[in-house]
Amino acid sequence: MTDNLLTRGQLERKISQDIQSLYRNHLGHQPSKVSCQFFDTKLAIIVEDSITNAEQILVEEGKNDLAEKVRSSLDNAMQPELKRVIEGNAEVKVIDILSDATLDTGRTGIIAVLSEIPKVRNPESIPKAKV
Amino acid sequence: MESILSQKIKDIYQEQLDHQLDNISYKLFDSTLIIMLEGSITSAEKLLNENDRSHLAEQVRAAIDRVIQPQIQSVIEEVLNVKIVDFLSDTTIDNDITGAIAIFEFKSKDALDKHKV
Repeated sequence: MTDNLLTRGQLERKISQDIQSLYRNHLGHQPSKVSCQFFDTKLAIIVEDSITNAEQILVEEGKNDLAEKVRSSLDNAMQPELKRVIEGNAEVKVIDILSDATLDTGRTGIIAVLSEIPKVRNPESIPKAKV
Repeated sequence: MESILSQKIKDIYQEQLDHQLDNISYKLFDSTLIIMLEGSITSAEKLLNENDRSHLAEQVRAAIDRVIQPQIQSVIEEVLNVKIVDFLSDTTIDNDITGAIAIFEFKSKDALDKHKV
């Protein structure tokens, strides 16, 4: 049974690729890099170059408030799909998604809170958080 | 290091909001620090949220985060001796949790060894 499971690294890479596709399919924009890292019952996701050209134009035109509203709405709209990607790959329930983006750096950070540690071939490699 | 950082973050919540956090946990990956604050929502926000004023509760939280987050950012920079280049943070009122991702540059080469989380 364990042989069929992905390693932690494989699972993180698969989720990263699926999130990149998600951005491409939904926003017509491909982030330059998506990195995922499991720790405890959390998954941290960092999306580089996550901001679309339309939002960048708004920022360049000084319409930062509008750009932030657009970003926040896009993030909210994508959350159900993001949740589906994580749950589908990791086979655990997503309890909560925390997400924020910085328009200046184009970076989005996401923390998904999971119902349990995902089943991987090497569960001992998932680090614990320090309290 | 964790206990110093936790105490300073707890102090910020206590001094600014008269509110006690339940738990703080951390994870450091390369030059990224992830922080989870549990029990970050104040009683006033909970009361608003439970009484059909969730939109107002969200506005209150956004305002609180705008005040608190730069202070947390400063505390991280001070304790870890790093320069934060990006600070991404979000809170969900229903689950009473705040998560933050701090991406930083090390000021000195040996800081990582000194302050491993």
